[in-house]
Amino acid sequence: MSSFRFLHAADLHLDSPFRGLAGQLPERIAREVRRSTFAAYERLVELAISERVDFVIVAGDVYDLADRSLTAQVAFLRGLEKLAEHGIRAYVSHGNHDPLDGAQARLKWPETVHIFSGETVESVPFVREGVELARVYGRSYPTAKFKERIHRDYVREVDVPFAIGVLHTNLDGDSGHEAYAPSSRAELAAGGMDYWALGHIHKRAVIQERPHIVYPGNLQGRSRKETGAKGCYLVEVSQGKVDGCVFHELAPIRWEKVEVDLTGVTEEADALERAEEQILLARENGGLRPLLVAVEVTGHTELHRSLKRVEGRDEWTQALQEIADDLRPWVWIESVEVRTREEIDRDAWRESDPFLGDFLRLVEEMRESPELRSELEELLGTVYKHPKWKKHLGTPGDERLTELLEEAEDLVLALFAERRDAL
Amino acid sequence: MRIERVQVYGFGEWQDVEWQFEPGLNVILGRNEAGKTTVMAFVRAVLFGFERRSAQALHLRYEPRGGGGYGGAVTLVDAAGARYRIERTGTSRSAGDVRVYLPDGTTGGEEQVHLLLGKMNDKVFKNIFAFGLTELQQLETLQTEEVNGFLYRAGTGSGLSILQVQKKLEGLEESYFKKGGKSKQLKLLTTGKSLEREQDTILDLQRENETYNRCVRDLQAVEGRIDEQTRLVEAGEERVKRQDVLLQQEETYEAWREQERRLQALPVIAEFPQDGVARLEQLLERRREVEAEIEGLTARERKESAVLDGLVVREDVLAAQEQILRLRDQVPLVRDRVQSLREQSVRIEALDGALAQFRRVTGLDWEEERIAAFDFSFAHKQALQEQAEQERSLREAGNGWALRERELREKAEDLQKREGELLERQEALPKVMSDEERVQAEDALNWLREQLPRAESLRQSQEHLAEQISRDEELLGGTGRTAAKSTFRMGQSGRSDAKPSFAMEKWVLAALAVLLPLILLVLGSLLPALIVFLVLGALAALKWRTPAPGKASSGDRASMLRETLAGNRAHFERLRREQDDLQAQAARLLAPHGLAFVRESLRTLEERLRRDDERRQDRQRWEEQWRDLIRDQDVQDLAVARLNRDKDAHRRERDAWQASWTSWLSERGLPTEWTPSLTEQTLPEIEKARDAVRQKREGAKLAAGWRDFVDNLEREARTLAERLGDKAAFSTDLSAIIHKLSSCLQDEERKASQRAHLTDKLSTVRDALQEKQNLLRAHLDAQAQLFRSADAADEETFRRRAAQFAERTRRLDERDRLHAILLRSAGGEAAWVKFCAEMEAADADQRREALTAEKVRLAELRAVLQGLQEEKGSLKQKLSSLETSERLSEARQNHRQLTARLEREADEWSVYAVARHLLQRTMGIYEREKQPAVIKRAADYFRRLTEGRYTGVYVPLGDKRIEVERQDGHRFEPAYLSRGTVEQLYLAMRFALVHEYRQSVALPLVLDDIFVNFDPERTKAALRTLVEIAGEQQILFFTCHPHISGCLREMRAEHHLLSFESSEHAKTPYSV
Repeated sequence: MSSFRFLHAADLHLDSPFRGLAGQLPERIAREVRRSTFAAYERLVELAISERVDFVIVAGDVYDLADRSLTAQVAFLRGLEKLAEHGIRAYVSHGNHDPLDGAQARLKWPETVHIFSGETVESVPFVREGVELARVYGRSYPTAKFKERIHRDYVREVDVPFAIGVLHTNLDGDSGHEAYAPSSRAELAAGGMDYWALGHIHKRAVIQERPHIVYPGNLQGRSRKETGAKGCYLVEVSQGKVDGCVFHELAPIRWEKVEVDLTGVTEEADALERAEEQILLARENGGLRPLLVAVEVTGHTELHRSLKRVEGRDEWTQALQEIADDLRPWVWIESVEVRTREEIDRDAWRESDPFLGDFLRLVEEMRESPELRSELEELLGTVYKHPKWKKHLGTPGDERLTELLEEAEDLVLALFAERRDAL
Repeated sequence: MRIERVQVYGFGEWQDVEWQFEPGLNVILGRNEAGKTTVMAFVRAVLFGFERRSAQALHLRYEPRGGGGYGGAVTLVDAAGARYRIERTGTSRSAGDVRVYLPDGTTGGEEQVHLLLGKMNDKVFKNIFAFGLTELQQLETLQTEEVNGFLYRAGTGSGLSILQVQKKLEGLEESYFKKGGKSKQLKLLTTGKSLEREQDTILDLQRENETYNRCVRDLQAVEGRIDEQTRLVEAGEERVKRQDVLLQQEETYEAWREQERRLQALPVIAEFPQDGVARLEQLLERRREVEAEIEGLTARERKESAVLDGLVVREDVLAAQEQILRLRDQVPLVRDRVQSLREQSVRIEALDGALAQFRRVTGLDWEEERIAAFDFSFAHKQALQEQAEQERSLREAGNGWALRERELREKAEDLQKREGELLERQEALPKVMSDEERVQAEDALNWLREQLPRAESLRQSQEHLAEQISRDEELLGGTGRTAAKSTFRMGQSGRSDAKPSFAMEKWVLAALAVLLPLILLVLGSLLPALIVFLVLGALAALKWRTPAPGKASSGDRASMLRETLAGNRAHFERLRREQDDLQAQAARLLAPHGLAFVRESLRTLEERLRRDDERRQDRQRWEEQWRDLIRDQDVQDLAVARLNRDKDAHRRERDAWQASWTSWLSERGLPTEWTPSLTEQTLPEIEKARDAVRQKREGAKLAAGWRDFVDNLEREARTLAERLGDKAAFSTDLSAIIHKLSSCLQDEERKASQRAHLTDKLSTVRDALQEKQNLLRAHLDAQAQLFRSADAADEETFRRRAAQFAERTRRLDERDRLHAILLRSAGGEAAWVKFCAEMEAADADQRREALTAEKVRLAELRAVLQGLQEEKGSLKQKLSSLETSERLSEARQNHRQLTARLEREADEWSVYAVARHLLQRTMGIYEREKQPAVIKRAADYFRRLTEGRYTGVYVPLGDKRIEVERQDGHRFEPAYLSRGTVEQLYLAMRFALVHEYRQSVALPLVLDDIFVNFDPERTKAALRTLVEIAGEQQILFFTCHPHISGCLREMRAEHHLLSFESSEHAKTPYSV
């Protein structure tokens, strides 16, 4: 038995758009963003070639078929063709985003590519110079909402030198993802495979070793929740044992969350400076890649009131973006979330102004009383239940309502304080 | 406070009437035009003044039309029972004249009335306490500042802020979303619209998958058709090519066939010498050449042998060749020598002439031998030169002496003249003082210089003393006055010379100091004027300040004076003695010189001494000149003696030289009378003569040599010429003989060389001839060999066979070449037979026709293929553009971003919406709970007046308007209420205000038929309220409706009823 190496990737989501980014992106950045999933995939192909791997595994969700992106399908094909030119095989399974019953372009796949069937678990031997080095098991999702526990059908055959299970699954019911083809770690560990090449969960993780259960995560972060390095695993197998499992970052653009604690800061300029420090730090940590930054401003600060206002926050976003504009590779301030607090002496307000006393009492009541809350829901319904928008906007939940009450209270008090200051 | 009595003197239609009113509710019933409203106006007018005189409101003044008294009085009773009668009359003032009769018997004016009415303003009274239907229907009548103060206090401190905050929040909320709003300014709407648009785009773009698949299918189909069509085109091309080939090879094929036929007709000659004919031609050519050469050579041999035979050479001449050549070479030299001989004889003649000339000139009749023997050595010449120099120096010395002699003579004459002059001057010299005399004179002078000043000072001292003494004596001898006089005189005498001038100066200077600057100033020069003024002024000031001298005074001190006098006398005596001594000494010293002891003597003595000095100097000078003369005479004598001595020595020397010279001349055979210089001059002539002699001798010697040479040569030449039998030997001219000889030699030499040359040539020709003959033989052998090899007996056969062989070879080659071409066109050996068959099958025209047809078919096929390929290209391009299109990704990304924006904006809106909502709710609560007391009470009245249909009256926060709340919670502005209800509302508010005013003053209410628009139920409700209020305050209720009273009775409400008899102007009201 000799050694071989392969790349394990999943959740390419080629040509799928980024979430968030409510601001107007400059075209050059927008183009890079659009190209990013492709670029990451192209890097995967290049890595495979430069590392002279024997094959590449893609464990589902190559593209979002719901989006019916022809470009994505063609780009995927071109990459596989390139791999084929270098004699690198590919084992591809489809997941919930690109099930086999989705609309697909008629493309001719190279012979070195094996796309797993949706009907049953297939086992495909990997043979090099007449010697079988591994056997790859896998199954594609026949349809999107596929909830069968198919991992049970991954059965190791006799005399298999190294068994790889390609599975798009929600392991142990991860709440952040849909529970498709569910499985559990214990089940997989006992499943007889040497390496479980999983997909579906976008956060990379080596769940365990020997047998290896690995999520490579997605190839390119696509929202502020998918921060940090994104890429694939390069797996080395020798003598039927995993010898190394090394992560390679491939995403051309990184998402980073930057928390800026403004506790004690009283001046706008100091706040900006603090934010800049954090952004630069994140940039360095990100290896100076193009960066999409979600800024979260926290802490007790006098600036709270001005930050809390939409104009204040927008100004802040703009100021930060102006700082970021000078950086190369680029940095885009994706959003600024203001979670600062201000100590408001509500009792003082209450005493000084009977009206505000009534107001604060009302907010208090609202918080507690379900009836009053439903009044709010009705109010918000005008927008959230708007026939044209409701599909894009989730109804605000209890938590959001509480948050809204808090923010509204802050706002009103701030406005009154402003008035009072003006007098 | 209630109205007890109303007395009208004259007001509107009323005149001299009065009514009594009771506390509580008074209902005054009167028909229309009974004057109810006038009574209400009267009460208002008396309490607050008549209406102003203005055109519009003149009728409201109610001035009696028929004239008479205007005004009246109202008697008020307060809660304590005190009466106040207020009387207002007269038309002098607009408001009328008011007088109030107070309970204490005093009266007051407007001021007291104002106080009495609780400082109420007439408008408030008119609107709230005494009003009719007109006032009731308008809210504005309530809006006096004072009333507002009661009504709108709901806003508290932050009222205004609340509204501003509310407005701000509304603005913010509405910048996002507004129900029913369509403005592009609404952020949510804008984003929503963009989102929809993007969604549509995505839907469109998503159809690309099907398009792509269709394209792929189309592409495959097109590719299949292209393959098929390509095959058809290729087959067509093949056919065209074949026909083309056949057509092209037609001629070649025919040629090939022709060659085949010809070859069969030719005999088979397998072998033939290579290049046979050429080689034969070459051999024949060469043979011909050799034969011609042999012929030429034979002819030449013959000709040259004949020439050689005719050639004769003289050997004897050739043998003398060397001698002749030598003689010929000598010919120029001989000529030269003969010429030289001629020249030489001329030169010798010339030399003889020169010698004859020499003898004549010098007079020396010398032989050539002697001339040649004359000594011209260097020593000889030097000796002659020395003699000449000696002679010259002797002569020069003689000349020098003559010069010196003349000089000395002149000097002696000069000395004699000087001696005479000096002796003459000696007699004229003046006498001088003796040395003794001079010493005495000098002593006297010195003494005088010392003693003269002393003598003068002595005399002065004496005079001074004498004066002082005489003054002292006078002082001492006379009285004090005398002394004073004396003093005065002394002072006078002291001042006589100083003071007048001093004073004058002072005054003059002062005058000048003033005048000069003035003059200058008048003349116009300011600066000089100033300067002059300053200078003169300063001087004058100085003068003026200097005290005048001699202002001393003296005292009278006699004793002291006497003492002084004695001292002075003694001193005077001493001085006189000294003077006497001096006189004695003077006499001793000056007497010898005849001089007195005076200053004049000093000058005389000095003059004398000076003159003596001058004389002494003259004498001294003469003596020096005399000494010089004596010295010069001595020098002259010495010079004369030396000259004479030298002259003798020279004469001796000259004689010695003359002897030696004479002997030198005779030694050399020269005439003794010759001087050295003459001898020196003649010497070159002798030298020239000697040279001439020497040249003559040398020339003769040369000429002899030359003659020998010429003679020998001539002899030799003649001998030779004779020997060779040449007639030239008899010629006289040597050079001619030699010339003849040498030309003869040349002829013979030429002939000899010609003979040698010919001999050589002949042998060469003979060798060549032999060679060529050998060559000819070889050629003939080769030809025979060639014929043999071609299997030919003769040349003709050979040539025929050669031609046949060549043709055969050529045709074979051509045939093979053509065959190869055809084979290539046919497509190889295998296809050869078929090719030949095809060639034979049709002719060229048929084939051309077939080709044209094929070509047309092929073009058609190709066009179809082209179309298919274009189709394929466009499909491929479409596919590639579909494959690489980023439009969908772009649209989706935009969609995502817009969704995010929508979410964010919805979030932002939510905050504003919730905040606004909360604020509004709080405002509702606040309004309900925090209304002013008046409003609360008005609400209460209103509720009662409307029998509970309306539950509330509100003044919105910070606003100056009111809203009513119905039972069902709906709120309205009064504008939305019915007429009656509005009146009820305003009545309620007036009641509430009346209640409020009760705190300060409780004035009676005067109501003028205000229930006109009330329905019976509400009228009852209103009456009930009136009755209730009447418990607190007097009410005068005027009405034209008798049922009111009925109602009250029904209600059993206490009230007082009054009735107006409008027609009669009843003086006493009806009372129940």
